[in-house]
Amino acid sequence: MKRPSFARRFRASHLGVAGAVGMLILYFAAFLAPVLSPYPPQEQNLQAGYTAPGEDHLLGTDKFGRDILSRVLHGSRISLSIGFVAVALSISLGTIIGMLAGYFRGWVDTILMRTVDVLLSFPRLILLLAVIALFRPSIYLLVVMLGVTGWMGTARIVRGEVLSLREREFVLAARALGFSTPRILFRHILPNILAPVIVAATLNIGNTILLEASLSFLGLGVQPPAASWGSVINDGREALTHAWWIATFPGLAILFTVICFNLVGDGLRDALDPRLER
Amino acid sequence: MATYSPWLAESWKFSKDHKSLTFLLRNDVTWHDGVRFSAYDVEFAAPLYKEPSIASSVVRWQDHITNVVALDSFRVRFDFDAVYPYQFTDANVAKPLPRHILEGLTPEEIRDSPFHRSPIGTGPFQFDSWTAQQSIVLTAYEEYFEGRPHLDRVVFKIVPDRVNLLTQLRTGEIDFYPKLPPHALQELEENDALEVIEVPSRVYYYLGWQNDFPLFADRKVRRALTMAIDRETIVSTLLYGKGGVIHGPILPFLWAYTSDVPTIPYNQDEAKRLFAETGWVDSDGDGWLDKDGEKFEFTMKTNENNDLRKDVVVIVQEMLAKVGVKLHPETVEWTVFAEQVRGRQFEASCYGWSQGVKVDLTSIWHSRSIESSYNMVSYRNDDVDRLIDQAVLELDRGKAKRLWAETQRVIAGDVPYTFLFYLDDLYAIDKRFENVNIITYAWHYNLHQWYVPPGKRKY
Amino acid sequence: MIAYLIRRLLGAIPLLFGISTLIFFVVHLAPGDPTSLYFSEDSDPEIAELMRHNFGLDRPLPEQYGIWIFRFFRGEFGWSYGHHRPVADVLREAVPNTLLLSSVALVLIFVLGVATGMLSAVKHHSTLDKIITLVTFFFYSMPGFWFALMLLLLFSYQLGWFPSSHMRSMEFIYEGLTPLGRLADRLHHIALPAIALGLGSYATVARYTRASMLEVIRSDYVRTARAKGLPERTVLFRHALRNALLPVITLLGLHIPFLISGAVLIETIFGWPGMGRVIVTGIFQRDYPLIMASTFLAASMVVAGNLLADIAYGFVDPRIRHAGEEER
Repeated sequence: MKRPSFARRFRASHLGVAGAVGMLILYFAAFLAPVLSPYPPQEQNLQAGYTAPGEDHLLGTDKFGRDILSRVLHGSRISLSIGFVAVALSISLGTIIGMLAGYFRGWVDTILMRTVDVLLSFPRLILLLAVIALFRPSIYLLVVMLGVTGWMGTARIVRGEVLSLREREFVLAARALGFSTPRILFRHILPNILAPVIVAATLNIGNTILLEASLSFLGLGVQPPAASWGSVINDGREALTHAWWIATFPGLAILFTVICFNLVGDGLRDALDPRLER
Repeated sequence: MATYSPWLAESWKFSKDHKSLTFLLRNDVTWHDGVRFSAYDVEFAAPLYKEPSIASSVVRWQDHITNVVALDSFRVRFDFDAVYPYQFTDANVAKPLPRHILEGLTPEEIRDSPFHRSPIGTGPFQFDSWTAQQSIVLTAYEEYFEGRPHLDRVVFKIVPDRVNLLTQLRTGEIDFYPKLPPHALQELEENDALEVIEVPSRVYYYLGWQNDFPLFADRKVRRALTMAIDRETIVSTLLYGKGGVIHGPILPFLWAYTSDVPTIPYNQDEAKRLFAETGWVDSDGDGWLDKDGEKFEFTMKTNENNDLRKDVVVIVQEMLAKVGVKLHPETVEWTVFAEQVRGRQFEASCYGWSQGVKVDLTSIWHSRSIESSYNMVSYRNDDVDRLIDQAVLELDRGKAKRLWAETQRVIAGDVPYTFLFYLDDLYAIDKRFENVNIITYAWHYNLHQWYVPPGKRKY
Repeated sequence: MIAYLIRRLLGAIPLLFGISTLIFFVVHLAPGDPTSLYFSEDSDPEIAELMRHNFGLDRPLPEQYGIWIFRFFRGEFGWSYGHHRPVADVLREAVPNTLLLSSVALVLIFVLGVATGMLSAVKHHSTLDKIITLVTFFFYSMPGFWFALMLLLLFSYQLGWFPSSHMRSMEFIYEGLTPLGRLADRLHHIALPAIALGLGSYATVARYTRASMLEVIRSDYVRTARAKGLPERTVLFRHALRNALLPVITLLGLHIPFLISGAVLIETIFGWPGMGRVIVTGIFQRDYPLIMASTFLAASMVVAGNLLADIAYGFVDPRIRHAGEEER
């Protein structure tokens, strides 16, 4: 690439840098959760249920007297990992499917893109609800389903990129040299479409975290007593009127996280390819 | 014990052999459409409750009723093929239906009839409208045989979430909230417009140990588990004291209840000692009990749509961890839970029963109910089987009471469940209502007598 | 244009059919038993068996599928296990309510989104622009259901300004209102759910409009229009906005699935008697016929929404109207 250094261009986007710093803080907090938490997240103190935020409990306690700050900190590990793994899955799927569709065209393209249409025309949350509610909810099912239902956007982007790349000289040359298809796809085409894929991935993580929270909120997320941010909000919902802090703080955590990921995503997009204004 | 008083029937009488029961009905009762209510309506409805295609939930209660005949407009006779204590109750569960509306239809047509979306009855309030997922409205029936009710209208607002309900209670959008969650009590105390009525409910909660699961096969182990659980604290914190610890399978408000059963006090040291007696000790020092290289761990199932049960499991998990027992909670959706529990596919479960008007421990505790009914923990005790079989047929109340008491003692001693607690039902109601009398079986039992003095009327 | 639409419409049929078949098998193969509605100490397990037979659930799955497909094509949606009445009746009541909520949200999203985006673009680089960008970014990243809870807590519970559930006041109050009063009553009830539902999409639309506007403003023909000395207002609204709206309209079409997904949560939180709630309870009760019909309908609504977006696009973009067959 002959463009000016990517790092410099990313740094030019102040918001992107801010987001990246926020993201670092988040991962740091998640990593150090056991050290930072004032209490073990599962530790109950039934006599101290529904304690308002104060000296002993910075963010208050829930009905079992569990410390909300500790639960939010530990919840970050679950929420962030779910977001990360699910997106890794959906992005890989999307990239492979998009590459296949774009490179082979013809009936492969038609079938794959029709499938994309089918899946896109279905409200994703309802699809997830149906499948997760119908089977035993577990963190693994959650991650897999979030991944399997989230690849379509990436596939479309990748397909578009590949369609234009496959006519470029270096690809034509590689084909003329008799390179194998996988080699062309992964050695020559893939590196050139990474930029939009990375942007899509960053933005997807935010969305996935929101979606996981929605599912946990409907009671279909991680199993108690483990807690993701969404399930802590769900715990706080019944007590909303007299213990507002339970639902409020994990919501703020989600908000902060998603903002960070979106800022980084936007920053990356601007830095990687100014044309990708979408 | 619930007793019966005249209502649609003025009086009733059993035949000499106790196999026929004849009711004399009031002659001044009309359906809400003005048509006179008669014995033919009772005769018409009774067989429908036995109809397989209708699958009435009280079909079992009709087992011994062989025939229902109207002798004339106001006399109806129920014939039985057996003599047993609950004949009268069984004759009362099948509610009459308006023959003049449903006559000539097949049972399937009656089952699916639009009549059920705009029904009529003979009670103090008549159906007015039903807006799906929004509200059901009843209005006073002017010709009600006990006199027109005081309230003009009763609106059942369908509100899907407790938070919204509490909000509307606070803003005065609703006047009455049945089954208030106990944690809301504190904030309601500050509300001068509301009064909270407490009534013991018919519901008790328990932890069911699958008796066929090797881990729980030994009664001592089940006893030790129970001993490790501080039920008093669960009642005082989770229920805010609105309920009480129970030790046996019959609730205190029923006539057959006895307090004279073996109780298991909370004592974690004693629990550990009992575990040790059965070979469960923490030999590798990892904090969890083990025996022959196996850790003491199991899965406890409960259903997703019941917050209280999920809360109980979370607390019990913590309490058992303190004696070295590892509980893996698993909340499953209701439909799956019902399917698995009915199929006895669980190690431990947290569930609750709602006790009916009939005292009958057959469906839950008789060994014959393991395959066919609700004895899901596979509890087997020949003595209990024998006691139950005797008690359900015993007409003499005093003798029956002794038999049921013995049954309760044996069951409590076997610890097939860890009996947890019964609940009090809490009802919040606006103070302007008078004459409100709520009983365990039905909060609306005297709804027609509820009254708002003229100066306090809102609508 | 018309031929194109017809082609799209015909293409949608196998699509919807495929979705339905998929859902049918997922739903029927999953664990869970619809007759668990009859699980209680008072009712004999035998009743569950009777109901299973009555519902036809004791037949082999392929046979059930055949029966379902056959009836479905004849327009019979079947009998809801949970509601004890025809699925068609249940949906006839619930769907208009969801459409009402989504349309109000959609209008809010579009009008406010475009207005905010325009304002931001016109005042490019101003403090106002920066504030708007920040605020929309905030909204865009917010969990909708959490925002809904916060609205409920603040405006219903604490302040008591808005009702916390239902579409209107109780019948006997509502019927005593003047027509204007009724409208006000309904707006009062729809305000919080519509705002909660539209928030995320509103922020997206605002962001897109801004970006799209900025691009158009810099384009040659806007510069030409300005050079011709046309008034700034005419340039902005006639020339720039019209072109800037194109991507926004497509975006709206794409947002319909989000709205319907969002409705599931928002309806539950605000007690809105719509399809979202019907679907959720249907899934939890294993009410197979209801799940089938309502998911089919949800998918149809999405397809219809995309079609509408295409038509709207055609109206705004003369190139498509004339070119007719041009596929996007």
